[in-house]
Amino acid sequence: MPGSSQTLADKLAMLGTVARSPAARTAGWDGPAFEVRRNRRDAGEFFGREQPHPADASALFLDTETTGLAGGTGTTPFLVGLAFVAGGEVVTEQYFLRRLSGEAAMLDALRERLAAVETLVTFNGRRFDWPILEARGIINRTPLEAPPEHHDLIGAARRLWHRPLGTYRLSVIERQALGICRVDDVDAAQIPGLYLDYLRTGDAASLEPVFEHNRHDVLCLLHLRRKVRRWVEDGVDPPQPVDWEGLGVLRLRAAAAALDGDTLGRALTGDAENALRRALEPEDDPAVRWRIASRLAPLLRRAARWEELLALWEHEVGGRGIWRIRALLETAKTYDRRIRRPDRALKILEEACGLVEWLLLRGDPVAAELDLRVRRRMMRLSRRLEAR
Amino acid sequence: MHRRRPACPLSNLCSYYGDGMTLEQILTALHTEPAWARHITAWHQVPERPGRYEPIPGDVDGRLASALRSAGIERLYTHQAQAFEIARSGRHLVVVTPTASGKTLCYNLPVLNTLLAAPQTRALYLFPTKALSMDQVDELQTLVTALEADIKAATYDGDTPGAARRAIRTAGHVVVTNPDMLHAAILPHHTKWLRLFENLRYVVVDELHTYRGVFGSHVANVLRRLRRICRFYGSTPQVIFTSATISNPKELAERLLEEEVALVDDNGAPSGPKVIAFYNPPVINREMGIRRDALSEAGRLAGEFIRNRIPLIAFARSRRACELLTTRFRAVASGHQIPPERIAGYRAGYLPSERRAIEKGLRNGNVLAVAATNALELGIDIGRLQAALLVGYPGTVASTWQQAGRAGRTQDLSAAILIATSDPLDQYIVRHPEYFFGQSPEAGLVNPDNLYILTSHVRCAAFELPIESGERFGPSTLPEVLDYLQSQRIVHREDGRWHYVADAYPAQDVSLRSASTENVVIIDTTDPAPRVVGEVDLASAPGLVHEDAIYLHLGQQYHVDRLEWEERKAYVHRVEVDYYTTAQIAVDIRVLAEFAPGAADGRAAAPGRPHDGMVRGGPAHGEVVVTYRPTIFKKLTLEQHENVGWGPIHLPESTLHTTAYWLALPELPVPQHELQGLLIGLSHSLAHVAALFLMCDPRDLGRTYEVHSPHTDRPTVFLYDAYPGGVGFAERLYRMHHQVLSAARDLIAACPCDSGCPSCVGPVLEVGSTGKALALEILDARLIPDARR
Repeated sequence: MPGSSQTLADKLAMLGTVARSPAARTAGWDGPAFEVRRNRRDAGEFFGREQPHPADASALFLDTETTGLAGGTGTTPFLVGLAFVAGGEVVTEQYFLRRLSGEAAMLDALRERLAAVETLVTFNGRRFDWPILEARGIINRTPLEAPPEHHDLIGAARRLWHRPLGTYRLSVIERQALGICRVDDVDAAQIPGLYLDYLRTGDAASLEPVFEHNRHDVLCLLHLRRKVRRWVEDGVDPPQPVDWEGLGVLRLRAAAAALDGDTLGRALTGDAENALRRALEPEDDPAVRWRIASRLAPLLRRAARWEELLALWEHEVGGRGIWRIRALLETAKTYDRRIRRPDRALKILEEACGLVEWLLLRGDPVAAELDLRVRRRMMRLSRRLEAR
Repeated sequence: MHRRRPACPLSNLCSYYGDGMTLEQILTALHTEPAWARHITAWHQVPERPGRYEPIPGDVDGRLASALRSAGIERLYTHQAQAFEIARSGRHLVVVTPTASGKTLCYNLPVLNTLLAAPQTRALYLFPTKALSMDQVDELQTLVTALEADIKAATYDGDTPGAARRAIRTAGHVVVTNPDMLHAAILPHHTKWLRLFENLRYVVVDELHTYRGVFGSHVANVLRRLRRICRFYGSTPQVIFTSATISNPKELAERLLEEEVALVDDNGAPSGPKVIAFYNPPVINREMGIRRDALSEAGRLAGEFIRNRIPLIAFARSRRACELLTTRFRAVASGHQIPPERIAGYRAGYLPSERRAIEKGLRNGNVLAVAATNALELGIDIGRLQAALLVGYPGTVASTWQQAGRAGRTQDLSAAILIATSDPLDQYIVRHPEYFFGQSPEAGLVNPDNLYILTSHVRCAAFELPIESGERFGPSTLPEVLDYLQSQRIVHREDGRWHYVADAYPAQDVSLRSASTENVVIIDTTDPAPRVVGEVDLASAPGLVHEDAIYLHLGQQYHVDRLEWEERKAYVHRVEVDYYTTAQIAVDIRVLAEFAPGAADGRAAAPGRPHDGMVRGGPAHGEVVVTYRPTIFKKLTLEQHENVGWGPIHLPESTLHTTAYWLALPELPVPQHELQGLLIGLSHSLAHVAALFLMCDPRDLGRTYEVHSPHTDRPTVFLYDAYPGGVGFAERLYRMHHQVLSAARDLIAACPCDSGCPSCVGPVLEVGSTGKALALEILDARLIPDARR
C-alpha cells in the first residue's frame, strides 16, 4: 500500500470507528506467566456427614473461562477451574493465564492432572470446554489426552429441567434444584472483556469476581454430580419442579448400564417405573402421554405384567383422535398376544376402524398410515379366527 | 433504405440441398449467401490440429497406468506429460488448456501417483463452485474405483452431512471443496483437520481465471492463511493451478501464491477444423443505432442447425434469454418433426437431478439442442457438440473461448458463431475481430494487499494462530494493520506475538465474494412466507433497490416496495413490467493523493496537490474519495429504452474510498453544454473499453467526470474501482492508457450511428448532437498523439 504511515493510520481508521484506547502495555509485571490458585476445604465440611462417592475420588471436575464464546481455534481458555477430592479434602485449583504466553505451561500442568484421573466431569464440556482445550493443546504443541470417561452433566440437566424450567443453564438449575444462591455474580457475557482489560492494564482486581464465578461453577458441578447420582441411582426423589419423564429415562439408562443386572438393575428399573408413572399421571399433552406410555410398556412386557400392560393401554384409550386409535391398536395387540383373547382384540380393532374413517374424511395426514395398520391387523386376526 | 429481407435466406439453398445439409454445407451457405454474409464481420478458420502424444511415463505407478489403459488412455497428451514431469520435480505449476483437453488428468495423475506410493498423504482440491466439485469427485471416483486402491475422495461443503464430515476430516485422502468453505469452516478449525494439514502434499486450484478482482484478492489471502497453517503442521504442499486461456496465467498464479510457478501452456490435445464467425445483426434504426434483436437472430440461425439435426448449444447471457431461446428452439423443432424433448434449457435454478439428466442427454445424443447460461461454461462434461451459438459477447475473451470450445470434436468440423447485441463491448468485439483473435490482452488482476481485504484476513489469521512479530503475511504494512486491530480490541500483543482476543468468529463477517462486509438483504414478500432472494452490497444498494426500483434477479423482476436503510433490508414483490429503472446518482469525486508517474509501487505524491514537475493534463492515477448522492430514478422501456416516468430517491449519501485513473483534457474552446456531452461520451466509451481490457464486469468500474476539476484544473474524466480500496484496475488502466484510448477511438469511429448511441458514446439524448464528433476529434487530434509521446 502506498502512503506514509500517517495516511495509512487514517485509512485504517476508515475501516471502522477507532476506539482510541490508552497505549497498550505489554505485560511488564514479574512472576510466572501462569499461576495456580489452590483452595482446600475439608470434605466433611463440604459434603456434610456423607462420604464422597468413591467414583468421585478419581474424577476431575472442570470448567473454563475463555476469551470468547464462539469456539474454533482462536478462543483462549484463560482460566481453567478444577475440583477434585483428595485425602479427605475437596481441592479447587484455578489455572490462570497472567499472560497469554503462559498457555503452553498451563496446558502442560493440566495434562498431568488429566492423566491422573479416570473421569472428566463438565457442564457442556463435550461441545465447548473440551474441544477448545484440545485445539489449544495442538496449537501450543502440548496435545491433551482425554481421560477414559467424560461425563457431561448437561445431558442430565436437559432431561431433568428443560421442560419444567424452560432452560437448563447452570445458574438457573443451581438456584431451583440445588438451592444455591449466588450473590454479586459476574455476568458471563462480560467475562471476555474483563480479561482483555486486565491484559491491557495489568490490574487483576476487576477479575476477582471472575475467579469467584469460576470457583463457584466448578464446585457446583461437584454438587450437581452428587445430587444427580442420588436422584438417578439411589432412587431419591428430587425437589420440584422436575421432569419425571426425564428422570425415568435417566434411571432406565442407569439400569441398562448396571453390571449387576439382577438386584441393582431391578431396583433401578423399579425407580424408573415410579418416575414414569408420576410423569404420566398429570400429563395433558396426548403426544407426551403416548411417549411416556411407550417407555413404560417395555418395562411391563419384560416383567410379563400383562394385566398392568392392558390397564396402561386401556387408560390411554381415553385420548382423542390418532392417540385414541394408537392406544386401541396397542390394547388389541395386548388382548391378542398376551391375554389370549383374540375375539376382544377384533372388537377393539373394529372400533378403531370406525374412528380411522372419520380421520380419513377430515384429511388427517397420519390417518392413512393408521388405517393401513388397523386393517392389516384385522385381516390377519379374522383369518386366524376363521381358521380355527 | 433497406432492402427487403427474404424470410429465409437459406431457402434457395435448402431447396437445393434438401433438409439434410451437413455442417459444412450450412457454413458454406452462411459464408456465401449475401443475406447472411453481409452481416458476418469475421470468418476465422482454425485449422485441424493433430494430437501430440507421449507415452505414459515410466514412473507412473503400474496400477495407475493399467487403470488408465483400461479407460482407453494408452498415452498422454504432451501437456499432460509435461505437467506430470514438473509436478514430479516438486515445483508449483499452472496448466493452461482450452475446454475438453484432458485438464483433470494434469493434476489427478501426479496426485494419485503420490497417494499410491504414500497412502498417508493428502490432497486438497479447490473449485470455485459446488456443482463443479461434485462433477470432479465423480470423475476422480471412477478412476479410483478402477485402481482398486483404498483412496477416499469426498466433497466437503455446506451440503455435507455431519457424520460424513467427521470421516472426511480424518480419513479423506482427497478433500474437494471451495475457497469459501476453506475460509469459513476448515481453516478456523484447523486442529480438527490435523491429519490433512500434517500430510498435505498437493493443493489443486482449478479454474484459476475465475479468481480475479475482489474474489481473487480474497482467495489470495485465503491461500496465505492455508500456507501459514501448513507451515505450522510442517507440510509444504505443492500447488497445481489450471486455467482457461488468459494472458497472464503465470503472473496471476504467482500473485496468488507469492512463489514461482511453472507454466504449462503447450496444448497437445487434437482438435478438428473449426470455424469461428462473428455475426452483427443488421441496423434497423440508424439514427438511434438500434440493431435487430440478437435473440431472434439466434432463433433463425439455430433453425438452420436444428432442422439439419446438427447438435447445437446456444449460450445466453441471462436466465430469461435462456428461457426465450429454449422456447424458440422448440418451435423450430416441432416444425421439422423433431420432438420437443430433444430441446433442453440449462441454467442456474434447475435441480441437480434435472441438470444431470440434460448432461447425459447431451453426451448420448438424445438432446439435440440446448440453450444454456454460463452455468454450463465451467468444466462440466457434456461431450462435444458440433455447433455453438454465443448470443451476446460473454464479457471476456476467456469465456468466449470456453463457450466456443463446447463445440468441437477431435476430428470433425465444428463451428462457433458469436451474435452481437447492441452493447458497446459486443459492438467493439465484432467490429474489431483482430482484437479478439490477436494475442489475448486480458489479464486476471488481483490486489491481495487491498487494505480492507488484507485486514479482514489478518483477523482470521490471528484467530487461527497467534501472529509472530516478523512473520510475513503479505505486504510490509502488517505491523500497522495489527496495531489497528489492537486498537479495536481484536488482538493483543505480548512478547512479540499477536494473540486473537475478540469474542467473535471472524470468518463469519468476511464474504470472499465482495470487499464490503455489509449487504442489503432483499426480501420477497409476494408469497405469505417472505423469502430472501438475494443481497446487494451497501455501496450499490442506493442505485439498485431504492423504493419503486425494478430489481432484476435471475431474470425475475421485483418491485421494491420499501427500503429499510438502517436495517439493511429491501422488501420487494414479484412483478412483470415492460420497463426497468435506472437511478441517477450524483457522484462527487475528490482526489486524496496522486501517485507519481512511473513509480512502480505507486508511491504517493503530496496529498491533494500534483507533485513537482507534473505536466497538467494527461493521465494519472491515485487515491480518491467518491461520494454518491442518489437523486432521481427513471423508468425506461425494455425494448427501446424510452423514458416513461421518473421519481425521487430519498437516501443518505455514501462514500467510497478507492483508487482511480483519470484523464485531464486540454482546454477546449467549446460551450459548456458541448463540453459536458463530450465528457459523458468519453467516459461512457472509455469505461466499456476499459472493462474489456481489465477482464471485469463494466459495473466493477465506476465512472464520472468534472467539467472543471479542482485537482487537475481541467475538464477531467475519472474511472475508478467500484470496490473500497481498489483491486488494481486504476493502476492497470494508467499503464494501458494508450491502448485504452485507441480502442475507445476505434469503437466510436466504427459505430454506424449518427451522433451517439448506447453502443459507442451513449445515447444522443445524453451526449447532445456534438458529443460523438467532439469525442472522436479530441481523441484523434490531442489525446492519442499525446499518449504516444
